[in-house]
Amino acid sequence: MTLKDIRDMLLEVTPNSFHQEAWQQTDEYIVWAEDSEADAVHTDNQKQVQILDVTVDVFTKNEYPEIIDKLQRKFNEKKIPWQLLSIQYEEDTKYTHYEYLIQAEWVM
Amino acid sequence: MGDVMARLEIIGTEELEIKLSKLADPELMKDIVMAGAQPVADEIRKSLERNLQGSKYSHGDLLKSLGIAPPDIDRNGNANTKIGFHGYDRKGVPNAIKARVMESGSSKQKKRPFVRPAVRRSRKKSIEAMQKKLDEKVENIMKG
Repeated sequence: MTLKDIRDMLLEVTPNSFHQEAWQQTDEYIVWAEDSEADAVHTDNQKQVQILDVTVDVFTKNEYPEIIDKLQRKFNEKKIPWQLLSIQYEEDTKYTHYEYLIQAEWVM
Repeated sequence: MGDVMARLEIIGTEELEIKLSKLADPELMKDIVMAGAQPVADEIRKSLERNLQGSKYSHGDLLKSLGIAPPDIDRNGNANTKIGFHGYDRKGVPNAIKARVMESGSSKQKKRPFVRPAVRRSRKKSIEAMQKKLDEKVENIMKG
């Protein structure tokens, strides 16, 4: 799954999905960003496959949020490896922050 | 023909037994774990320095608070340590929370992961450092 595929997948979960930074904060939104190389395959002194770590952060003011069910189902449906890294509640803003780690392929 | 009987006598097993028992010393395991933790902590420090570069708000409190805890042995007999951030900054904010917000981000602050990528980058170096320390220890013990 490429970065563009991830963008499209997240937009199916909510149109309030943003790359790198949320430029419009609603009561429920997603921010995603690639941050480092997770793995790579080299042949003939060239990088052939590059796997990137991508974080997907969901911010929601809803309790027992449906968006989480929807997102996790989507991860499974698309068969991408995913891990819920943390869940944090922000007392000042009342957002609950779900932090996921998934992986994308960079096509050479 | 009469029966032929072979006899094998092993000598020096007590000495070997003593040497092998020294390999199970918890202090040895702690040294190995600490050898593995150092490259991980170094890589986290480098990542954090990169994140803080050019920041007009940083006073270096978070960087100074990064450390490796003294190792201990858990109930299963495994040696463990932790790499983390201790204490408070000059404004009284826990350094661990500042590190957490930088790593994970919040609705008010963009995330800048520095721990997870650093741990991944240093994994191989850490395993090699532990293997090297183990080899040194085994060699010293076996030499007597």
